[in-house]
Amino acid sequence: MRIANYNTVEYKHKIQKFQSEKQKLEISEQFDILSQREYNWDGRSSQKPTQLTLIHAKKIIDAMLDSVISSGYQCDTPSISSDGYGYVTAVWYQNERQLHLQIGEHEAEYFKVWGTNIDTEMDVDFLTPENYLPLWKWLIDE
Amino acid sequence: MNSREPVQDDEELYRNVRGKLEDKEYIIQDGKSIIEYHAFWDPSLQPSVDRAKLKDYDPASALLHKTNGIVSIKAGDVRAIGVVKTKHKNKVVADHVVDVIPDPTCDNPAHALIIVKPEFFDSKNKQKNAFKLLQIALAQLATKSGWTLEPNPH
Repeated sequence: MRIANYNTVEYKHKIQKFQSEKQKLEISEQFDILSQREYNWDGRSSQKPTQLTLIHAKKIIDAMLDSVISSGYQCDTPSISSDGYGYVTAVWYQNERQLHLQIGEHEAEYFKVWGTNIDTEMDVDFLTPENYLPLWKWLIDE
Repeated sequence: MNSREPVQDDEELYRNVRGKLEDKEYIIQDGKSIIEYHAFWDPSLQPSVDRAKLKDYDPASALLHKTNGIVSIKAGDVRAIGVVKTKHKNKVVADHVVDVIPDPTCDNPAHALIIVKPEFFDSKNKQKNAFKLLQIALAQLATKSGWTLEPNPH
């Protein structure tokens, strides 16, 4: 949802800045946990995310949040983890919709999900900065 | 009952979900638990489940760790997930049907596997993405069902 139309632009910017800084702190905390993971951290042979993956992922997630928040939207902090291959993952859940990011050392992809049927209710593609805002608008059904 | 009998569509399947929140196999959002797709990760791309009826419908007997929780999904819902596709240059080169098969072991006669037929192939990246779609769908089914046995992370 959009932040309400406040009287002053300055106030709106302060709110956005506060929101952005708070989220970056929460995200940093989640990355701290990931940076401590070792191979087989889950007992299921999962790879640890490399330092390069962590840096790349943090950059992308921060950039996406900046893009969304600076456009006047509230953006929840995603659930961040790493997968079995050592990729960093970020997920937002909004009612029936899910937006997944999957970030490796040099590449990033997104998964749009709006149901359980793989054929008709999921979509995968490469993630680029041009996608950030359209993906967010899709997630919140705007 | 013979543990090698085919898994029927109406059978409940138990899956362990790690209980510690930092493991990110579930999150709590607006007071509700959402099972994350990481809960269905398996290095052989064949998530393990236990057949509830061979566990006497006792989810606690399926626990792999005392802090874990148990979610249940129906075999028929798993089979209805759809076809997982392997694509090459945007062309579908294989349709993988999702199935549940018995895989009893000496220690666990209730053990079963969620598999795709044919098995995933092609590059690691393509297998990763195809399997991720399956994990996401399984996690959605588990979220809809909710906890059969809540985790005990403390």
